Parts: sequence; structure tokens; C-alpha cells
Amino acid sequence: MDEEDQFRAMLGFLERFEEEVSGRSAESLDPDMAAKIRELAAGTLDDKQREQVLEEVARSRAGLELLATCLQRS
Amino acid sequence: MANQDDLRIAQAALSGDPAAVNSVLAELPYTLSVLLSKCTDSDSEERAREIIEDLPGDLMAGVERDGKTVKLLEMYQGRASLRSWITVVALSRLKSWWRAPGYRKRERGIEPHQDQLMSSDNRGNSPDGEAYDDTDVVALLTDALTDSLRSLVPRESVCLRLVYLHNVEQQRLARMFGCHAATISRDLDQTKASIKRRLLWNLKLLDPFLEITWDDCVRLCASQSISIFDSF
Repeated sequence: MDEEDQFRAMLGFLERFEEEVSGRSAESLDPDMAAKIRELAAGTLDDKQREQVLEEVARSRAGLELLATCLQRS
Repeated sequence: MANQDDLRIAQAALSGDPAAVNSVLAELPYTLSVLLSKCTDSDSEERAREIIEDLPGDLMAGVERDGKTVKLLEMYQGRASLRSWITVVALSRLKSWWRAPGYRKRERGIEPHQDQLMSSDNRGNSPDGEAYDDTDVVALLTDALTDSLRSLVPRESVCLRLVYLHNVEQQRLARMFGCHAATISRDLDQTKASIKRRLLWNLKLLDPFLEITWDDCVRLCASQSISIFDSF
């Protein structure tokens, strides 16, 4: 297993465990935050705004998923 | 969270609240009784008592790391009751001590070369004949890994999960941050090195006797689910 797969295994494990413990919550994303995340993905935020949105995304599974989707479509 | 009260007690104990400290200490007799119930010889019983004696200091006084004091109780995340968590930590320490060559050679007459074989694949047996079960180590691994990821700044944490959980190409991250892809790659390398270092350090803090490598952690993560906390 190369290092990339090792980290996939690690992070995947933690995701599975969090789901097992807390269940997949129906976390809803604030529309304003969703808009900010789309701007983040588009690279149109300044440094300060970017750091603020990243802080939110780091705490939110739904936010991270939206950012991933936006980036994959970009 | 189901163990919110316990989490509050742990946080209060870490900040020195006397009542909370007493609440944490009040869990230790139960933990000792669990450990003693697993022991079948006097050396193990003595070791169990030593482990319990060491716990208050490890949990709330802490040890030095990178110039700051780290307390074991900081690793408690409220996933299990505080009692279960402390018991898992203590039991893991006892099991690791059982697996150590010194104990097996003395108690079971195992030859050194057999020791090495057993250590290398992590399949020792406790004195009561119960097969060594990885699940207790996995429970500790979860806490250690969570703490390692929490130590990251938001940018590091988000980039790591985007790339390795959601398969986002580094080139796309570079575009988002307005930097070169090589910068993203270098930052990820630093983040991964930091997680590896911190994870192994955390595990050593939780269980000083545990002999575990990065590859062991990966293997466990790739194959396990958690059930140990349900045991107490």
C-alpha cells in the first residue's frame, strides 16, 4: 500500500467510525455558507475570506462535501 | 453527544476543578477491579495496581511534548463514557505489558526467538488464555488519530481530506488557492509527516507499553470497526 492509500485508509476509517458513533446527521448547510464555499472553489475569495470559509468547512462534513463537488466540477 | 456530561467533567478536571478531579479519580477503583479480574498471577496484579497509580498523573498532570504539557485526558472525546475510556486505556497498558517479551519469558517459558515472532505479528495471549484482540488498540487509535487531525490548521485539514477522501486533484486545489501544484504537494507532505509523528506520539502517551508502528496503524484502520467501548 503506498502512502496515498495509507492515508485514504486512515481517513476512511475515521469517517466510518464517526458515522458509526453519531449516525450520518442530516446536517444542513446555511445558504450563505454554501454560496461562500462555491466562491472558495472558484478561487474568488481574498485571503481573509478564504481562511474564514476554510475554518467552517473544516468543521462541517456537508461543507467539505460541497467543496469537493464544486472542485471536481470546476 | 451521549457522554456530554462526562466530557464536561473531563474538561473541568483538566482546568483543575477539584470536584471534577475527584470525579475522574472516582472511576479508578472500578478500572482497577476490571484489570484485577483479568489477572491470573501476582505479577500482573502488581502491574495492574502500578498502572492505576500512574493514571492520575498521566491523565491530569501531563507530560512534556514540544515544549508544552500534554495531558492524556485531553484525548478523551466523549465517544464512550469516561469510565469505559479510562478502563480501555488501562487495560490496553496491561495487555501491552503482557505481550512484552519480559513478561512472557518469565511467566510462560517462551524462548526468545518465539518472542520475536509473536511480537512481529502482534498475536500474543494474555495470561487467562484470551486471544489478543486488536479492537482495544483500535479504540485508542481512533482517539490518537482524531487528536492528530485536530492539531492541523483548517487549510491543512481540508486539503488532506479533499485529496484523500474525496479524490480531488491537487491541481484543482492549486487553482483554488492561487498557487502552484508543487506548493500543494509539499504542504500535503508536511501535513502527512506531522500526522504520522503526532499519531505515534499520542499512542505512546495513551499506552507507553504499546509497540505499534505506522504500518500497524494503517493495517488496523484498513480492517477494523470499533466495538471495544461496548465491553464496559
